[in-house]
Amino acid sequence: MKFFSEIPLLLFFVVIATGCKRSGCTDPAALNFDPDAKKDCCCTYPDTFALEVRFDFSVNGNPFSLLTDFADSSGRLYNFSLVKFYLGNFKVEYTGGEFEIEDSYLLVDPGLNKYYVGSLPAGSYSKVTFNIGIDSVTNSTKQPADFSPSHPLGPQSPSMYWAWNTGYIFLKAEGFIDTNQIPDAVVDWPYGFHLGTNDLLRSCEINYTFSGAAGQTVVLDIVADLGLLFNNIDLRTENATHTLNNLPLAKKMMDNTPFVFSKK
Amino acid sequence: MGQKHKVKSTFFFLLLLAATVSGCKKDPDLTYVDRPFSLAIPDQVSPPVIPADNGLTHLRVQLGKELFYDKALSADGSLSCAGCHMQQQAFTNGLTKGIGIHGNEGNRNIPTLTNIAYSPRLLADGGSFSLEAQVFAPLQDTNELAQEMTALVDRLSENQHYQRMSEAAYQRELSAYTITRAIAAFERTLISFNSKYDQWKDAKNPMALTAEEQQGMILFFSNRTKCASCHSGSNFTNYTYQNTGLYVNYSDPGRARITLDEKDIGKFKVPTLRNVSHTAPYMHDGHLKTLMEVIEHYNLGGVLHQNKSSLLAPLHLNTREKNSLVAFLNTLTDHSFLSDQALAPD
Repeated sequence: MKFFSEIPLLLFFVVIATGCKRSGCTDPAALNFDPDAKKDCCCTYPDTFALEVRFDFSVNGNPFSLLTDFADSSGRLYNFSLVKFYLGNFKVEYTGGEFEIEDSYLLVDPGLNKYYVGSLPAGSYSKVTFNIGIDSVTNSTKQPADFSPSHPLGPQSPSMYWAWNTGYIFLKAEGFIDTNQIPDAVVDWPYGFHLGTNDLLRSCEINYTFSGAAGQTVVLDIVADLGLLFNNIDLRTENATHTLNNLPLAKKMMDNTPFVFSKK
Repeated sequence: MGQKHKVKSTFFFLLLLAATVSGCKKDPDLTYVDRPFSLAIPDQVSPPVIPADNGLTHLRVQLGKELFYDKALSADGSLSCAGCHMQQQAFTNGLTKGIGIHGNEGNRNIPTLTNIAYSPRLLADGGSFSLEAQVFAPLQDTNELAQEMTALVDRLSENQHYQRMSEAAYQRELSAYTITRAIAAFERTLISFNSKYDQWKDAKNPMALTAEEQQGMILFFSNRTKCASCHSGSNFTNYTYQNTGLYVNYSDPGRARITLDEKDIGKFKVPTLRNVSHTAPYMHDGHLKTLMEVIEHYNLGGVLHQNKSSLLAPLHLNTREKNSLVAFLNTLTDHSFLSDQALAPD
């Protein structure tokens, strides 16, 4: 009889014990993640949206394609067999401040036109800036093996990293040109630009008004006119540099790179 | 008959039991069990700095050694790292320049890997910042192994042994990350502090050096020759870049290739002198064939160059003094290092 009289007490303890099971947010992706929480409730998530860029690759206004002949400003024909370049450290400007998008490195290849840049707080923005190349801190202290194979800074084929001089190749452009003094419209001579080193890092700023709400994906449409890479470059005589063996020419092309990009 | 059957069934029962027991026994496969690796550094020498993400372990070093000696690292499978870094030559190749696949000649003399763990930057011009990053240099160079890292990872990933080693050593599948780190880990074990000079200096054996060798040593450390101004410390180098007046016009700009600074033209990293008797020919381009030719170069003081080290000047050494300097340099040879089986292929 005594035993039955203790049942309510036991029941009480059971209830207390269950009630003590800590409730909180158990999702590590949430802002209020509680590692000690056992019972999931009341998660709050950051108000962010995903930013992507979509490139419209062209050459002097014509649609880009590999091994298609284009004419430079003097009418001389050339084509591209390979073009790849790094963009990095994307920043966006809003009224009263600037937001730097973490780990925002893109290895851009005209074979693919859309790239994920990163996530940023919901709101309105008026400008986007990015490096053409890899920032000096990363370029001088990191190497491809430090990154996963799927990361843009991981090992690439063809390689985008010099090892004899630690650092990434910011831009590779290769193809064929007509080098005849009097152009004969036959692209028969290879050209090659492999550009890099900290001193040649360039940046580009594009006025672009956009806004995003939490959970959205916002796409920025950017024209990349690759013909502008050769602005003021005479491809007949200036057609090869691996940067340090012809620094003035490498600098000339890197100085052209910010003009390649514009809002569509 | 019944007795016989009972014996037979007992026999089968025991056999079954034995099979079960041995079947249950877990194969530990000690090949893939890792443990820390300690470098044999004498008390009086500071240990090298090891990167935090690549602490030495037996499996890391072993994987690195196997990769170092594997010809699969080259594009055509004909050459390994050891093709130019041979142990009996103190990890050099004995030739003027490196010889890559297809017999392509490289740009510079092959540096020794003796105590390479201590070198703050790699390559004769200091272009590479770590042993891990440096792996890309000979790998990608078309005059060396001529292999892209992505292709190498694809090729080596088919090797189950490498995969297991990589996962046991780094808890990661075989990748550029583990390949470069393992090779660097092995290279850090190329430690040499057991020369005749070390035996003499540590006072364990005052008779280790002959009178001639000791005369050479005194000259080497003297203000007259100033050899030890750059070839200083326990590795006989201060790891600076110096122009030693080899040429009026350098076809190889040396350090200036990296810094683009005219003041660095013709400057190359001061090499260690440990095992120098086994690293001929000498200088960045291997144009001096013997140690005596090197001594003769410094004796004359080198040709005029705006970047030449101010320490260089004619020394007016006589033949006996030159011989004694060569004799002293020969005492820096560590024969146990040159024949250490732990550094040789398995």
